[in-house]
Amino acid sequence: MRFRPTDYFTLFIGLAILAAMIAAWDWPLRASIIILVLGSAGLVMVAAQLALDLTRNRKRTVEPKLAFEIPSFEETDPGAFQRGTLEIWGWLIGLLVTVLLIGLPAALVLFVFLYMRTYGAGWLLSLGMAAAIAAFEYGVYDRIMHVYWPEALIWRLFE
Amino acid sequence: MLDAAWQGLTGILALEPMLLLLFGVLLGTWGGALPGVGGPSQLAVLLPFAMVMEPFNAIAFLIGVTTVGNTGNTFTSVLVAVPGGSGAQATVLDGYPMARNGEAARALSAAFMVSMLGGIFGAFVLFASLPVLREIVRSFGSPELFMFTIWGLSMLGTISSGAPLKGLTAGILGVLLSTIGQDDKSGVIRFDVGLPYLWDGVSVVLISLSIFAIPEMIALAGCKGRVAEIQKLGGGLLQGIKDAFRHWWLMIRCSAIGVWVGVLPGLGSDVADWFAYAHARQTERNSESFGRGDVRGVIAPESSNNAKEGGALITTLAFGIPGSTSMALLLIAFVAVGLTPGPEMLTDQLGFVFSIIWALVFSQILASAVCWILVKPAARICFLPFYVLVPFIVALAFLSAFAANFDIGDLVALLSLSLLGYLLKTFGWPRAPVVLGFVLGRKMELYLWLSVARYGMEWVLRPGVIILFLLVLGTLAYPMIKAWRAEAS
Repeated sequence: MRFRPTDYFTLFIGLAILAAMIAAWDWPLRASIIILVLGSAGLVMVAAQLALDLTRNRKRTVEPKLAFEIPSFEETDPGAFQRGTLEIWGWLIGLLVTVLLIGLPAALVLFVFLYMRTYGAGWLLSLGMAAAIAAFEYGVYDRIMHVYWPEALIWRLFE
Repeated sequence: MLDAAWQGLTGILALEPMLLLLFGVLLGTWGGALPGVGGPSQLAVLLPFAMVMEPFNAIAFLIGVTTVGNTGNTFTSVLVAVPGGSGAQATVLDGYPMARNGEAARALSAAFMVSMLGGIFGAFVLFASLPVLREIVRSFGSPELFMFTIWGLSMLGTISSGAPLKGLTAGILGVLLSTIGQDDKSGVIRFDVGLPYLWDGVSVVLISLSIFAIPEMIALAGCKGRVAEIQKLGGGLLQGIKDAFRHWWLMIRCSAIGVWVGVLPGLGSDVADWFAYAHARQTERNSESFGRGDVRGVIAPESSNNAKEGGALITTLAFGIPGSTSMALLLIAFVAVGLTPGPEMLTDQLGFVFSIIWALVFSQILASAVCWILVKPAARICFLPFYVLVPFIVALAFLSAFAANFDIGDLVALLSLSLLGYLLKTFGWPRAPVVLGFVLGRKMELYLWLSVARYGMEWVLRPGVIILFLLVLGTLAYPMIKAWRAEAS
C-alpha cells in the first residue's frame, strides 16, 4: 500500500470532519444533529474514497478525469510553477501583514503598484492601476458606502 | 385584465420611468459585477432616494437595480472565475474554462442572450401561473423545503462524475463550514476557535472568493501567463447567440426551474443556478464535456438565475413573503410609495403588478443590450498578462471580502479559506460542491429544526416530503443506472 499526497489530503479531510463531530458531541442535539449525521456520512465516504484510491494506486497510476472542475493551467515547467505559486503566497501573506500595519486602502494601492512593477509592468501602467484602485476605494467604499476602515497599527505609534 | 396590462405598460413606458429604469439597470449591472458591492448593500444605499419617488418611477428604478445583477455578474464569473453573486456561482464551472479556451465572447454572448430570454420567459410563466401560485407556495412548508435542500445535496454526486464520493464529501465539508458561528436555535457558539469574529459565521461572498477566485489567481500567478493564451475573439458574439437558440429547449427548461425554485421563499435566490446546472448535467447528451468549457454549462445557470427574479418578486409582492434581504428592502420601498403587498395586490392593484412585470421585461432587455456592448472589450481581459490581472483581482477580492463584515478578520478568513480552495484544486477535489453545500447548509439545518419543532416526526409522512424523497433516491440512483447502462452497451 502506497500513500500519495492526494491520499494524505483525503485523510486530512476525514480528520477535519472527525474533529468537527467530536467538538459537536457535547452540544444540544438541535445544534449538533446536522454535524453528526452528515459528518458520519462524510467519514464513510472518506473511508471509501481512500480505499478506492489505494486500490487504484496498486492497479494503475492515472486517475480518472474529474468533471465539474475548472481545468488546471498548463504546467510546462513544474519547478517554475511551484516557485511562482510560492511567490504569490508570499505576496498574499505580505499583503495581509501590510494591511495590519498601514491599513487596507493604502496596502492595496501599494500591493498593486509593487506587484506590477516587480513582474515587468511599466511605470505608467503600474501607477495608473494603483490610482484606479485608490479611486475605487475612495469613490465606492468611502463616499458611497461610508465604510469605517479599521485603524492601522502604524498610527498607534504616533498616539 | 387587459386594461390593467395596458395601464402597467403605459405607466412604465413614459420618459421618466424609462430613464430611471435605464439608470437602475446600469447601477444594477455594475453592482452585480462587483462581489459584495451589489445586491443588498447597493439597494440599502439607494432605498432613501426611491422612497420619495412616484410609484411607477420607484417600480422602474428598483426593478432595474434589483433584477439585473445576475446579468452583470456573468462578466467576472466567466472572465476571471470570480462569482459576482450567488446567482453566478455555477456559471464559473463552464464559463471560465470557455474563457481559458479563448471563447469568452461566445460564453458571455450566450449568457446574455439566455439571461434576457430566461428573464422574459420567467416573467410570462409567472404571470400565467399567478392563479395557481398561491396554493403551490402555501403547500411548501419547512419539511418540503428541507427535502429540497437534501435533493440539492444529492445532486452533487451526480454532477461530480469522475469523483462522486469526493463531490459528496466536499458538499458535506461545505455544510460543516456553514455551521460555523452562533446557532440561532440553541445559542451554542460553534467552531469559533476562540475568535469572536466567527460568531456571526462565514459570509457566502468569502466562500465564493476563496474557493474559486483566489486559487485561480494563484494558479495564474504560478504559471505567469494569461487566462487565455489563444487570441480567439472573432465570431464569438454571433456564435453565442446561435448557441442560445440551438439549445432553446435547455434554456426553456432551466428558465422554468429558475421560476419555480425562485418562488420558494428563502431557497430560490441562492440555489436556482445550481439546480439548473445539475439538471443540464443530468439530462443533456454527451455531458462529459461539462466543467471543461461546454456552452450548455453556461446556458443552464444563466437561463435560471434571471428567471428566478420574477418568482421572487411575485411571492414578495403578492404574498408579502420576502425571500431574501434584497426582496425585504424592496418590500419596504414599495410600502413607502403606496403599494400594499399581499393578496389584494392581485385584485386592487393589478396595474402595479403588470407594471412590475413590464419593468422586469424591459430591464432584462436593457441589461443584456448594455452587456452585449461591453462583451468584446470585457473579453479582452482574458488576454491581459498576469501581472495586470492578478493584483487587480486580488485587490478586488480583498475589498469584496472586507465588505462582508467590515472587519480585518474577513481578510484572514479569506486567506485561510483560500488555502483550503488551493489544496482542493491541487489535489483534484471538486470545489463547486463546497460552495453549494455551504449555501444549502444553513437552510437545511433551519428547515430540519422547524420541521421537527412544528410537526414532530410526522413531517416525514407528508406527501410532498415523500415525493421529494423519491426524487432524492432517483437522483442518487441515476449515475449508477447510467454507468450500468453504459457498461452494458
